[in-house]
Amino acid sequence: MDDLVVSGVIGLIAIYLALFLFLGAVYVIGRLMYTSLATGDFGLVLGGTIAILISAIFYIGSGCWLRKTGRI
Amino acid sequence: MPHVLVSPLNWGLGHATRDIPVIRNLLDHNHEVTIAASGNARAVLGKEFPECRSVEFPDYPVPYSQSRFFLPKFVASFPLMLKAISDERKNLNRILAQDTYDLIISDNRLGVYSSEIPSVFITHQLHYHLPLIFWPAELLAVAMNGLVHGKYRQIIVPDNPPGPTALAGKLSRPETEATKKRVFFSGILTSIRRCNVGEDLDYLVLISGPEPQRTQLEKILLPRIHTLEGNSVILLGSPSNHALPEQTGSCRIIPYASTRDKENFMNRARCIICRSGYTSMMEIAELGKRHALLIPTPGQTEQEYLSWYYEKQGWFHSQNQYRLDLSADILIAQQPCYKGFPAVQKTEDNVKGLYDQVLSQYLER
Repeated sequence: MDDLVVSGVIGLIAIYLALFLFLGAVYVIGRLMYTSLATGDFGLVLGGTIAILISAIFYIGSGCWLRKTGRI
Repeated sequence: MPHVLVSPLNWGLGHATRDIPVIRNLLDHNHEVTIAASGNARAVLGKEFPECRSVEFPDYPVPYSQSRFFLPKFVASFPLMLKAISDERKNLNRILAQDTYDLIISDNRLGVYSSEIPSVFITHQLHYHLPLIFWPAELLAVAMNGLVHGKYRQIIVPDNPPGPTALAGKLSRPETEATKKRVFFSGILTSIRRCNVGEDLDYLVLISGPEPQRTQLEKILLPRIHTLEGNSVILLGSPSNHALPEQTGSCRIIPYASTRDKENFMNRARCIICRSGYTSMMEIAELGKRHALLIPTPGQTEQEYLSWYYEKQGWFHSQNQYRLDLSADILIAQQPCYKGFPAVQKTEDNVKGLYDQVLSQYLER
């Protein structure tokens, strides 16, 4: 098989793997939050929410910074 | 006689039409040219150059969507694209085995290169623009582009070098070492030429691009066209016969125009309403038009970026097709704050420079 096609296949597997991991993480975190909420463990719910918000801000912030500095 | 294989992508006619001046220049230098393409791209080049041999060479499935969600469909089509590139490599080897070639020119066809025959790649997208949320994919695409570019001797970008006269903005910015080492900025390349005619047409509406979005734009624009004051011509870019709405005295609707007729109408137009595809932009730059209303194809990130960039630069007004208010937007598009593209070197000089500085080294040995 041509090496360009091989690189494409590897890239595609990486994209699907990342998507799978992301969806898996969403499921696990969602379940954990739901269980914590149901058992009244509000400390974990609050901590989890803050951690998700910080991660989202960091992710979007990185994209904004890359765009603002002309890297993407 | 040196022999060149020219292979444009058949996603719309833009790739094929921008290759017309390059092929004409090669023929003027008495080189033999074989066109390897499919569909409309092959038909247009076959009509333009009946003296050239043409071979059927299928490319990739068009991922354009009827809805505004182009990106998910595009990502979902990746496995099919890879299969198509794999088939393209096999078909190319079959074509190359049937004849001898001195140079391969691939216009945006990722698998059209050879390790034995010098190969050059024409593209205006060295950097793919994606929505901000997908920024890691944009970085990944830069790396993938570098990998593709490494397969070619040179990368020809039909734009000016990065700076105030670069028409493609960040799209034509080289990022990786592989690209930087190979890139050649040829300046704009278009089959449209400037003619010595007066601007007696108020509006020219170009409804073009790949289906199904071409038809979508037709459905949006045609019912509103009577709101334009002045005389107008609408080119539907669709050879199929279908019922046309009533035409008023000041508005002509033409289902399909030849390249020369389109050139004539574009020269005569004071204001052009069209998609923001890069080929159309090169045509506007070639003619030095100052007023245009750009309507990007929904979900096509390249066109959406160009529209945004031209608006930011104060060159042209653009509007999303779902928010279009034709009479109001056309007034805005003709405001003096929109200056049109900066003056750029024209295709005739660019194609000479491209031949002298790049192509001749492979053909005149």
